[in-house]
Amino acid sequence: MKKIFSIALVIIGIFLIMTALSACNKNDSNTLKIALDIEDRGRYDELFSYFTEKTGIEVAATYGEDISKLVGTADEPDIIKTSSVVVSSMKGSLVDLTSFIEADEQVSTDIYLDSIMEALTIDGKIYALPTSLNTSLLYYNKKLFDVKEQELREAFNLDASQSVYPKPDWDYDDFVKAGVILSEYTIKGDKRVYTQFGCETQLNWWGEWLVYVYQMGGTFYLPNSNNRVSALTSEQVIAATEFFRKKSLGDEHEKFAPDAIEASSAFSFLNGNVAMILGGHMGDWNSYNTIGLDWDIQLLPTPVGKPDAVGGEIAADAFGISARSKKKQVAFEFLKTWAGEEGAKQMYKYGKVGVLKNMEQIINALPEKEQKSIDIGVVFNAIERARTLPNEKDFSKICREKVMTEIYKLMYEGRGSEDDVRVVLNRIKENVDSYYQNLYG
Amino acid sequence: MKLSGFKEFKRNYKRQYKYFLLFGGVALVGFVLFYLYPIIRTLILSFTDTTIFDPEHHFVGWDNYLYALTKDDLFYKSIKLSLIFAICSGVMVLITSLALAMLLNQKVKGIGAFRTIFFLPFIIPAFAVGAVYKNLFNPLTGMINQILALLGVTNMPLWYISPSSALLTMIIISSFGFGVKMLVFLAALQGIPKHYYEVAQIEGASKVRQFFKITLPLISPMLFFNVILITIDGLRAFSLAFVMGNGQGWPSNSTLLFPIYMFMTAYNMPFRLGYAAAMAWLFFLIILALTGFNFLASKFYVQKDIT
Repeated sequence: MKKIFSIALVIIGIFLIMTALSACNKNDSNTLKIALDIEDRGRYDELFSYFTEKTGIEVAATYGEDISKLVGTADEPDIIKTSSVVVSSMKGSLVDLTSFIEADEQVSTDIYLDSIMEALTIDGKIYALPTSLNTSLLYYNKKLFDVKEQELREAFNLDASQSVYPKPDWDYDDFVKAGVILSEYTIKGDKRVYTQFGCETQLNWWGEWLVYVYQMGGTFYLPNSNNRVSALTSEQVIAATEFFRKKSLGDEHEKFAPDAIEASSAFSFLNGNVAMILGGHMGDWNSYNTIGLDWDIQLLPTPVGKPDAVGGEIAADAFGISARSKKKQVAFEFLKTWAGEEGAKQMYKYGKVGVLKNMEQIINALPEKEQKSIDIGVVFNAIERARTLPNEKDFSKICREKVMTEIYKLMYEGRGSEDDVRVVLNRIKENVDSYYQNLYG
Repeated sequence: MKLSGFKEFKRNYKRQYKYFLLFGGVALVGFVLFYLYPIIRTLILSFTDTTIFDPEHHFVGWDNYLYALTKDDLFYKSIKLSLIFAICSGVMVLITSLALAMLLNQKVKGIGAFRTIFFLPFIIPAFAVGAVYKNLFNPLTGMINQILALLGVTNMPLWYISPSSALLTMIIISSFGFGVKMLVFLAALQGIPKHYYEVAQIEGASKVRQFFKITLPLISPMLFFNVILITIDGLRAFSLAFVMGNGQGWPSNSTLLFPIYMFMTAYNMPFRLGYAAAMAWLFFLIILALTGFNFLASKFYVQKDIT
């Protein structure tokens, strides 16, 4: 018995020591830690090797780990991924890069798009350098357009030499006209059963709806309200929301997108049964290519009579340095490479477009085999019409909990649905305004 | 010579303390590290404005608690949804698990295989189960509505798509979560001496009367155990609500159970960890009160001795 007891005690002792040791951080001064998305696995090994060759510093990347669960632990990376949207909520964990940038002659923030740098600068402090951007575009499936070529030619009065794909000067009427042509359905009883749609409906986030709001000339917050009072009952927001609803629930001459019920049934651009996405996300480019989708991009259509309407969204992934990192200077050296021309070239291979002002020239100078089959120039024209999201840390929470929850009820027919846009927008405004009232008084 | 009580205790203690250290100590270390420390840390956090990404935090007193209790409408909504879910799904699970346990307690050929088959789904992760049910309940393509169509139903339910029926859908799905509870009931049923039923049968008691006069009283301690288990499980339900509601109480906050709201508050922008900790403590008090109520109520239905 005594022997068994001793053996058990030794085993438990070893277990406890191993547990304690496993919690200890291997603090290798020659290695930088970075946490990346799961789809980035292996993509940037070449860039890491390039950096190691240049500096002798190894880069150890982990993939698919949630940064919010790594911060404050022994596994916290030296380089932290953030974005122009979330940086205001993450700044407490990030180093102010201003002094690093000022002390380094090779670095200038002037090389990045101004709107993105503004979003990454809070109270005069720069918390991250941008790496790849996302801006709202009109994505289209060329194959589905080709199938409907004849009908599109007739509807748009196009001769044989003209392309049937979306044009940069499309307005909403053109968008609807093409969308309806590209939708397919059969009649079952007195109902239309759709098998293909002209456009996606984005209900899980505010992206598409907010594009319509901005393009119609609306705003989310009242100007000069310090982003505390919403402007969601303006005529522009009402018009935008009505357009968003009609696109999914209108009659056969207007409906060309899935309602909430149809959207739950695998209708998506990625599945190849939806011809267009308004807004979309540039982070999906690689997925489109991986599944062999024949796609391209165009500028967003604009409201009728407003050809110069601005309103696409622009945001960027960015990287900062952990406030707890013991290798801040080395991390900054890496950040320079990552957010510089070398990093941008490497990322472009995987469909990510850098935030550098001269990115278009960099892409044009790439060898033919590294060029994309899409009209990349559209991205740079779209940027000029896009705007960043409101610089308000509760914005995404509000959109998620107060706005899209109510908009959703407008997007289908049946139990629990709503059909009066004004009533719904009034309720959203009340909820949003009382949220700020309760939070800040 | 007989030792006095204290001396005997002292002698036994000296002889056995090392076994106490061996078996109890390890568990105690685990409890302190993985339960007590997080509990105390959460309590401290709940009085601060800590966010996940901000190492600097300030003591805010009772502000977080007051905000939850007086200003956060989603706090109340999520508590209400969790209570509805816990009570409704709890009742359903109790009924289904007891009914199945009684079926599996029959002397039928191959009963072992049936028991295995009924328990097998519970080794599948809840996330995977949720995804499967989501397909089954899809209003357009799901099997459930297709069966209803074959039965001649014309006005199809929208299930998890509509805010009016999403929680109900979750309750229906969770009523199949009988796994462990069914086993507990089965063990209790197998412990009932068969001759009780034989005597009752001779005296002409119907099956229903046998159930209420013999079965239910004799399994009441296990019923109480299952009620506690089911109440706590229902209030802490996370995985199914996470899958069904896309991790955000979708659609229109109708599946925003409290654990989901707490998770969203801590791990989504603006990452208010301190506030989420306060909510966790308030919720803990609610669970404690409900468990206390269950204990009090048990006096009325748990039979300690029926012989």
